[in-house]
Amino acid sequence: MKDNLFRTLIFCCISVFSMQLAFGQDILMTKEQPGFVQSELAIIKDRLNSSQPVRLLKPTAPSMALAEQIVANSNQLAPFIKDLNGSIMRVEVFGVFKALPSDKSADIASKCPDGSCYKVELYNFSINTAITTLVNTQTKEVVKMISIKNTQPDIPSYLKDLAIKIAVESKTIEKALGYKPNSTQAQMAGTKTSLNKSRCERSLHLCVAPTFVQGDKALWSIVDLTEMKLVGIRWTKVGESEARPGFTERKLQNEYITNCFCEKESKVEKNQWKLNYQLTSSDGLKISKVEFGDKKILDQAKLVDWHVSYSNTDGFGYSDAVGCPFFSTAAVVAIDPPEVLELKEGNEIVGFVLQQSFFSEGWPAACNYNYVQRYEFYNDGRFRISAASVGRGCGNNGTYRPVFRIAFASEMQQFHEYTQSGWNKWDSEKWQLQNEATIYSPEKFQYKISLNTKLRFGVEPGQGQFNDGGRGDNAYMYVTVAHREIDEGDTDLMTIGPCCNQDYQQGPEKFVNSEPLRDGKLVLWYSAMMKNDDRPGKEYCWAKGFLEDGVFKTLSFPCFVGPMFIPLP
Amino acid sequence: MKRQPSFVRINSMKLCLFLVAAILVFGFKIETGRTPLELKKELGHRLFYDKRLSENGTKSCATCHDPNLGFTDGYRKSIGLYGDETRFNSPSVLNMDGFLTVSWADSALHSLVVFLERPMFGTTPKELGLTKSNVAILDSMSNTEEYKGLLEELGEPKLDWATVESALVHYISNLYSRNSKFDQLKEKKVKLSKIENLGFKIYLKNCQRCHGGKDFNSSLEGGNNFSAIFSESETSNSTLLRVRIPSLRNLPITAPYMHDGRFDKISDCFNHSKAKAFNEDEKLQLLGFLNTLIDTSYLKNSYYLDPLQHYK
Repeated sequence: MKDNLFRTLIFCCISVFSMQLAFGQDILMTKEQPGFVQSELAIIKDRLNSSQPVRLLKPTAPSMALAEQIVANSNQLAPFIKDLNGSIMRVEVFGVFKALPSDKSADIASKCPDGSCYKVELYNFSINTAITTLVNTQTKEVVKMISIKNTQPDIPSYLKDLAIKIAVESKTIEKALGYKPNSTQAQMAGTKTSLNKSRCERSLHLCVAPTFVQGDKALWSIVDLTEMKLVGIRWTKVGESEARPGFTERKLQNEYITNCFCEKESKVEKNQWKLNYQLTSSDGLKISKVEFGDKKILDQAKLVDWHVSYSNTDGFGYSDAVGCPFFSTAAVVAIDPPEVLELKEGNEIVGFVLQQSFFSEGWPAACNYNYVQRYEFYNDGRFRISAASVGRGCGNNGTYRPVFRIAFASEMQQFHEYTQSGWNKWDSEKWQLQNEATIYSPEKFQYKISLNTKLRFGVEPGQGQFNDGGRGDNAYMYVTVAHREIDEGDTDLMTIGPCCNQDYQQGPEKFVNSEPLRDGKLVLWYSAMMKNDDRPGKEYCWAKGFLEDGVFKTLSFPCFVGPMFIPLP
Repeated sequence: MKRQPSFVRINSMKLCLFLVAAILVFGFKIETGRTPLELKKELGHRLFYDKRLSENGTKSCATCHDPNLGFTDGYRKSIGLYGDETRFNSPSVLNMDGFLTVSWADSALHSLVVFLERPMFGTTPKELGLTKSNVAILDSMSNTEEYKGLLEELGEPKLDWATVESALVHYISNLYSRNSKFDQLKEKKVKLSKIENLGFKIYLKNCQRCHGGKDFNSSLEGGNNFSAIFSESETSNSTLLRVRIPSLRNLPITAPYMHDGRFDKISDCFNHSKAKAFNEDEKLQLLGFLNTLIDTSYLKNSYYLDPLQHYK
């Protein structure tokens, strides 16, 4: 008995010390680590012990190299380099990009003019915090810095390569596949993931999942880039139908799309609608300054994240972003320009649609993605903000969760939810789920929003009624206060939520802190949920290839979600 | 290796001293107070959540029976160790004493020990991928902190398959979820709302015939757990089989539904018996009643949660 107690005691003490080691981000080299990991750790250790401890990306363009130097040496970054006790934290530059208009708020634009304005993204491994900065290389100033805890920027190519190497060199992966894979076989290696019961859970560490497709299955190698090791493997089934990639040649359009739709805004004026639109770095197609008649309706709307989960219990999948082909690390990018199409109900033209597609290069093959964003504007003043996954993804049991950010124009807004006792006004920031037991108003509204311009809109979530194949949104709605002084997503946001949370923690909850709404300016965040399906006759969020008359064709089954906003008298 | 700052070392020492004191004060009581049955349940508890109990160390019983999902897994059909679909939707393992049989489609199977052999040793597909001849897994687990002391207390030299199965049965057989609003109604602790009451009446009239009894899973007519014949899957040439009547407890957290997970929503299941087509109001009322059968209070009880939940 005493032996047991003694062992328990020793075990507890060892656990305490090892937790401190891990949380303290100590750089620990062990004999089991392969040589390339030890070399990488040695580089980090040297950097942490140097006078300038931020690891730089060292881009070849001198202006970009200058931009990251300015940030690394800035006073603003200092609190993210040393903790309160003066210990050095591990901070690395993850990306240096030419700043796009979508990265700049109106007050910043004059301080950071085109040509000398760069966006530098950094990640603090020690406190799991992403830091986004805008730098003016002319004035050598950091003009803006935002940090978001428990958030990670998209990773740079050297970390992607490292993740692939960790996976490819792993005996576990070799044993699971039955052969040693080569690095070109790894897919989605740069996209963030998580894994329950590991330090990757809920993205507490920076983790990615190089994935190897083998027949109708995919082997996920979950790599923890904070500790530089493989933390788990999982298998998913990717479906049986044949699917070959068919879009590689469209890469030729990347430059055209960047020049015409990422670097400048476009306008649409149709019927009574007026709006601007623009492709962002990682928030999809953004619309802004939306007016109907002479009335301002929206400041902006965009698609912040796509979360894709392949296990309800193990919690692994991808946290994706969609955006421009250049100046972005978005995993799924625009390779066609945005389209303005007629919106028809039967044979009647009832408005227009602004639509944008985003593709992974190899779609519709397994472990490739295709997303569509649609803004529908009706002649009668209704509008709908929607998106769809067109498959095919890395498994036939995936759950997709797009996250929209919708900012209405005007001050003095009020938000109401329909309940058993009628309309109930929200007084503070919070969230609500749409589920089977949700009660709707007689007009099918779950919410309504009032603007001070005397405009009111009913909010009708998808329940399969929009004739686009959608089967229901099952959405979380979050309402937050729009702050003038704090940027909570006015400019481009990196992926804010982990891939695989089952609950309300999809990212927007980071901005929900019960703050009173005070009839002020509000932001609506809408995170819908769709489960993909490859069962014959029931396909959803899915794509499959087939041969017709000797020609390879693709059959796709998009799963549209998104709320309709209907003007109220 | 970098040295810890001094304050961290002092705090660590304090914590260790606190642990010494706590173990000396409470340790003997805890260790000596456990009966063999409790020890076996504790062993089963650890094994249920231990991924080492699978061929490649990636799955445990809890992977398909997660407490957060009412001890199911949220898939239409569960996924085996290597990504293959199993034959059936993962059934909850709560309230197992309320079922006469333990599998979806085998009315003669009453023994949980016998049933456990399917996920553990079955190969079509491999779920945990274990083989009886592979005792190396058990030998290595026996020597770990999680099991060594417990096995000594049980008087077992090391884990063997019989011990594993018996411990898992002891654990699973003691998982209950019968503290829902509807259960509390019997003790007059709560009242049903108007919608819930209307839903209860719809249930009594339309659903109770098959979903009767204390766990809402017993046919009132035959007194058994088996329902009418279903197609095994939705394909036109699928075989027909009788399936076990599922419980109506915890439905909102155990989607998708039916033995093959064919329905994503509870309301999709309402019309499967073709007894009555419910209108929208009736659906909401019935959903209101079914929500009174949710009980996740067990999530506050450590016996139901992962005892090995430390990062590895």
